[in-house]
Amino acid sequence: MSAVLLQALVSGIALGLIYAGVGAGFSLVVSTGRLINLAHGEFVLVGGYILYVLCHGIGWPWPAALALSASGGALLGVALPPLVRRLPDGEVDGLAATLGVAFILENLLLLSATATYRVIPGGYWVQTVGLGPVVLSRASLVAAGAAAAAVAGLDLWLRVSWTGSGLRAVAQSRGAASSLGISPARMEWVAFAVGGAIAGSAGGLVLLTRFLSPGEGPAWTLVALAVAFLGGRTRAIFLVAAGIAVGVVESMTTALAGGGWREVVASGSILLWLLVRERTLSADA
Amino acid sequence: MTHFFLPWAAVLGAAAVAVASLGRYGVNVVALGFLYAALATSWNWMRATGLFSFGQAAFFGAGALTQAWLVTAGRMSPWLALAGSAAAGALAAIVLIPALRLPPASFGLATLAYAILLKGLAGNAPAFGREGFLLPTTPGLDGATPALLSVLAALALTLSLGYERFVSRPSGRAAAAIRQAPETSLSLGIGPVGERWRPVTFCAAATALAGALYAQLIGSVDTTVVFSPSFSVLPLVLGMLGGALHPLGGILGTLALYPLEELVLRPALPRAHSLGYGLVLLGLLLLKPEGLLRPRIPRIPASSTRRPVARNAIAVAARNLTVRRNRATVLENVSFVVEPGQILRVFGPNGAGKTSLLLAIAGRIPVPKGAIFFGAAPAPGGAALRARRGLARTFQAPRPFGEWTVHENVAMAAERAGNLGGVDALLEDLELKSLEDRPAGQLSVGEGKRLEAARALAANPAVLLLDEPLAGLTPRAAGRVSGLIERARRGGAAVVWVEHGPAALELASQLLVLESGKTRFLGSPSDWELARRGPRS
Repeated sequence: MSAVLLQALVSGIALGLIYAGVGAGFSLVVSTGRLINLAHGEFVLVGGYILYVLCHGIGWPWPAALALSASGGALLGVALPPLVRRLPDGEVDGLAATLGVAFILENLLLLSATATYRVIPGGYWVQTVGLGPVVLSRASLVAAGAAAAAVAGLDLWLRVSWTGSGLRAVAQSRGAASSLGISPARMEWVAFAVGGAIAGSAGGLVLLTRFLSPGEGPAWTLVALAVAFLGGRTRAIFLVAAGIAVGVVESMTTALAGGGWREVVASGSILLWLLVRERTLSADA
Repeated sequence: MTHFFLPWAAVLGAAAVAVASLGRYGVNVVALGFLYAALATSWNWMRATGLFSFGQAAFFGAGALTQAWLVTAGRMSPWLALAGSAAAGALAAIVLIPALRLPPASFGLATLAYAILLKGLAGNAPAFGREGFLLPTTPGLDGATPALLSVLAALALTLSLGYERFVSRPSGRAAAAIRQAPETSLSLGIGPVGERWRPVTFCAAATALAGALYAQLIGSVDTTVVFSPSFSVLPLVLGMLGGALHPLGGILGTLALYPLEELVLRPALPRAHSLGYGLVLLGLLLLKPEGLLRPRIPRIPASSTRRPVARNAIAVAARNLTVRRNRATVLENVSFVVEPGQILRVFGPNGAGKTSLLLAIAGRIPVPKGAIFFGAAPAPGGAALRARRGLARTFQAPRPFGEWTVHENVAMAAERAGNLGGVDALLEDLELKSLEDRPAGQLSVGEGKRLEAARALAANPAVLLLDEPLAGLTPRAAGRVSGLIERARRGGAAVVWVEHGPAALELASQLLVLESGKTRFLGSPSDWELARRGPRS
């Protein structure tokens, strides 16, 4: 394999782990909250902007700022259940409502942060680390590692904790869960809060490795959709595999054909999945 | 048509006044208004077929980009290029034809993904590049001109009028049926792809034409702009605001929101004026999802010139039928033949495979092994085709067309069979006449079951599939339904009847007893009695 393709493969894997992180919170909301959140990308951006202001603007340490990014994402997440419960129809109205939320958030970001691209300053984070024949920036390594840890941590929590069992029960059958004393409404709150928190903290990883711009929201929602469609629900191994698949295909395509192919790869995967499987994620519930 | 042309006359009159008083600025504003109205009406027309599009930007961008490329690189006349751009929109819709059978949310996501896919592909294509296009000046089509304004006004009016005509035709009724109850529509032979592809392709072409006119109006095309999500959200918001299921919804939504955006939001929030669309969308969904205008529900005519459809009597047979659902085998090697004028009663405990059997005969689930035959030939592929061959079915839980009345529910099936004259008699026989004007969505379960039977029988079926038609009925109502089923049998229908319990068992010609998906018994009712009693000692 040529050096270029090998580099593209490794970069794609690192990128894919970040994509898995972006998709993990989205999948949790789909499975338990029965909502495909088209504003997920904007949740990611809000988290990223919070980190940018705190770290770059005020000088907070990175972990503390990340905690606040997660909190910001969680707050946005818990704003959705009261909205969604009032909607007359199921899946379609949820899509339309979150599309409206996405539009509102994007415009609020434009007003507050303007369309200027935000990146972290150079220096330490952009220094590369040699991994045999390939190199990755410190930012990519840290972000990929953090994303993988977040996805694994989510998976473990869902499998080991009582709350996680409750979330999985509600995801399979709200009625049966309710008959066992598990409150579907309460589990929904937890799912939206945790999903939003993961999205918000993923924004920090996005800032580390790429850039922030209010118009990038739909692209990140698309990535989350593609990972969730291809990987299924919240099992870490499937989310990671799906994220890596999307990341590697995008990276390889860019290496071979040039240009920005993230949107093409993600949207093409989603379209293909829908035409083959003939249903959305929520219908699996 | 006064209710249609009068509002449009008022709109055109107001547009003329705006143009006359505001000069070139007025032409520009009014032109954009008609553009938005055309986009919104096009979206509404798709919505009328039960589809929810989140990706109109795919067609808008395709049209704008095609127009720009044809007049610059292709050196084509802009007027001729408009036709090419509309064709590009229609071609772009072809990719989505397999998605027409998807439920609304899935289709919406498919359109969203498709718009972003086209944007990405166009942005990376060398022919289109990333710098965009600057259109050459053309007399009459250069910016906000009266000629361009007239074309946009004509497009908006044509779309609105086309939608109005669509609603009053059989295709509009079929689309409304799919929107209300997709499964029930299939049982009447109304296939989602067959009914939707024409209006969707037309609307895609119209949206692309709007994109082409936008390119001429602005004078330049930037790939990221013409495929922007704004051109997907804008028609959705304007269309829903005015009333998605009304032919005037697009123009009314535009009149309600566009002046607000132009006169208030844009000056106040130049960088974030589309914030209003998000807020309006949320407000609509929470407070008034049907929009400002009440839905125009297509009505079923009282009479029709359609001749009765000739139904040849056909036998229905299963040979070594094996069906799998959710990774489990629910039917295994089931075989039987039901001749015209026979009733096959199907028994079995819960989970025996009775409903799966009906679904397999109806064409709703795949049959990996074995086959279903109509007469001597394999049954046509797909539920809609089988329904058009003369198969009718009832559902275990009633699935009426909720927006239509009881009379219209039955008439919809009768119209397709050329049997509108038989509706009143059916309603009388099933004691539904007093309920005929009630919306079918308001019926009780028992009334709904009787409606199921009426709708299936109104289709004059050659093959009749019944899924517990007597469950939940009073003995009197059950007797009436059984009587009509017997009448259908005497008329030559081959009937497969799933029922718990022995009610009307005396009408059965054969019994099929299923257990865990396998045939436990197939034969006459008397042989079954003998088999149950066992050998005498």
